[in-house]
Amino acid sequence: MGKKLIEAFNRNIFLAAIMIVIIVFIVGYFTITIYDNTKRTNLMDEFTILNQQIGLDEIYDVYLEEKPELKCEILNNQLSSQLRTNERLFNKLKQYNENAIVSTDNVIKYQLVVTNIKLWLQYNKIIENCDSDIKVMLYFYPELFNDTPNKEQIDAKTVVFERKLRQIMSDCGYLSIALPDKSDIEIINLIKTEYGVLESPSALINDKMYYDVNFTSEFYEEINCNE
Amino acid sequence: MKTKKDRLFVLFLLLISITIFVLLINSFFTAVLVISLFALYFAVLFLLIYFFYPKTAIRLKTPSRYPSVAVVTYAFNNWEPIEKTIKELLKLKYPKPFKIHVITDGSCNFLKKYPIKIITIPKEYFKNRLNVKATIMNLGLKKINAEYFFCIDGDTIPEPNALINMIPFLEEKGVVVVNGFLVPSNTNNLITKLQALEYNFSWGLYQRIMGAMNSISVAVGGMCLIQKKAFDEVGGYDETNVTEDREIIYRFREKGYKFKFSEESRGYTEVPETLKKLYKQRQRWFYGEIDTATKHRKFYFNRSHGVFGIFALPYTLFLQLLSISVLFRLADFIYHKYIISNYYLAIEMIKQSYYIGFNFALPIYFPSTTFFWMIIFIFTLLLMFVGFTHSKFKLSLRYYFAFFIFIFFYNLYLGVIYILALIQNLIGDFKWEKS
Repeated sequence: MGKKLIEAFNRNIFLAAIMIVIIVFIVGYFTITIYDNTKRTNLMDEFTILNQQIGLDEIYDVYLEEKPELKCEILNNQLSSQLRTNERLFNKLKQYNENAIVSTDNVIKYQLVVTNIKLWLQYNKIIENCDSDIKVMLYFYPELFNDTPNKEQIDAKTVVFERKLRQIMSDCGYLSIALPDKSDIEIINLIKTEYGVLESPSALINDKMYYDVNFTSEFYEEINCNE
Repeated sequence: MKTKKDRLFVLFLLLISITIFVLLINSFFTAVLVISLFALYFAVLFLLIYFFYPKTAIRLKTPSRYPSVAVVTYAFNNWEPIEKTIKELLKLKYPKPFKIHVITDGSCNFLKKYPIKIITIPKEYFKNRLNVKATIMNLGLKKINAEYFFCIDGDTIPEPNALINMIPFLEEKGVVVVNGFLVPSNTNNLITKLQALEYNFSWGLYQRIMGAMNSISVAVGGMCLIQKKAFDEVGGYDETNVTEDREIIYRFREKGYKFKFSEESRGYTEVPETLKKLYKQRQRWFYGEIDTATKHRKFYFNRSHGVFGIFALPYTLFLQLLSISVLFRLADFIYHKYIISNYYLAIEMIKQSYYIGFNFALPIYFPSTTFFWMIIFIFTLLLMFVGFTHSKFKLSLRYYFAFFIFIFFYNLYLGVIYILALIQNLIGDFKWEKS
């Protein structure tokens, strides 16, 4: 009996192991799917609310038409709202990336770029209309993919350039708005043509394009910065 | 010397590793999932075998008879450990009288004070031989007349009942080799502690499982009992193979013989104490393992050799090749993420005269599929603790750091040595270096 049992066991143990693995896999697969779906639903709910808030932005434009005397106040309020949305979108994008639960994060990326463009236009409006001393720079970054040639070289150049921009932001009180160098959003190409953007990483500071930054006194003067 | 076909086989093995590596690069998550499922399968299988395999393998029965046994060890230059070993061999329990034979080159007069038989093999007989141990054992064993010989390394100390506990396994027809259970005797530094963890895991679980599946692949040179008639029948150890104890098993198998693992026959062996010595030992083991696999490649996926041919051999090889692929993938990741990136960052910092520091941050990325990794990790830990419990090894506080290194780095180190051994098999022949 014992011997027969050993033989039967030896014959079937490989199949038994397969069965257990299949069960673990199915249980694991469904657990992951349910868990991912829950997380995805929560994130998408928040994203929908965020989208509705982006829609609210139009109300400011209507309000502005009705109350032109409150122009600067409305524009500043609109800017604050856009900044909040922008920050939340950015955090959401980070969350998506860290959780890796959606097949593509292009929608939210696209939304973030559009919001950034809006921000840039909004800042310009405020500077033009409200005699504001806000300092804003426009940063063009290269979008890198796995198959981008010389990816590591471009990445290194971008990292150093970004760090320099951060120094300018902290030294001179500049705000920065980032836009991708290449995009199918036509307005970005218009902005690029307007300022003559040749390559990235680059930055538009005080109406001048910079492809490299040297922290000389002439440079600080050019960007209207008293360190 | 290897033939062209032998080298082609090694090249084929290397190509399999590279293919898995390419898959890991191009379809990372699919490859990870497949590998995880494989790993999970083996972990489950091992646990099943461990828990459900009948205990006859460890429960000792009284044998119907005790055959004549010769205890054989050898000594060349390693005089200090051999004296210790001989003293312990004299304490071996066995109901019948037995002789202890020490094979030497005749330059150790102090051995004469012990009641042992010294077999002298002059140096010219084994000078310039690739495998000195195999040569002297073959020569020495010709002078021994006993049904079985209890083979023990000169730096291994057996427990008094090690030999007697092996005998019941000979009751089964066709059993010609019974392996003992080896653990390190020196655990004074990190390197030896790592090996203590490895030996206890391997002997406590892996050997037991291989024994249960009749898939033992080595007649452990450190301590085993071998039938003399069968040994002579296959022509003794292969003197051209550096892991003669592994190679001989294949020739035994060709004759249809069986092998057992006696868990109650413990021996304590000295293990390398430095990384360099460990490297040399493992390089020899891996080189010999690949060499043996190449020589006996017809065993792979061969149904006539049962579980050994269909499962155990391919599994062991697959595991080694997989570890190579994972190592390649890890190296590729480190190269791109840290070396190349920081290299260009350095160039850019110099070019722009602007220092921002280097990037060594770990990638934070936790997809839900991490769940499978976690399961495998838990299963691996479970397997390890089962192995440790079975080998009566206590994972005390002094082993915690070694355990961490063992889990995350030790196998990577061994993987590197395996790659080098594979390349050495591909392009050259083994050159013996004294460790």
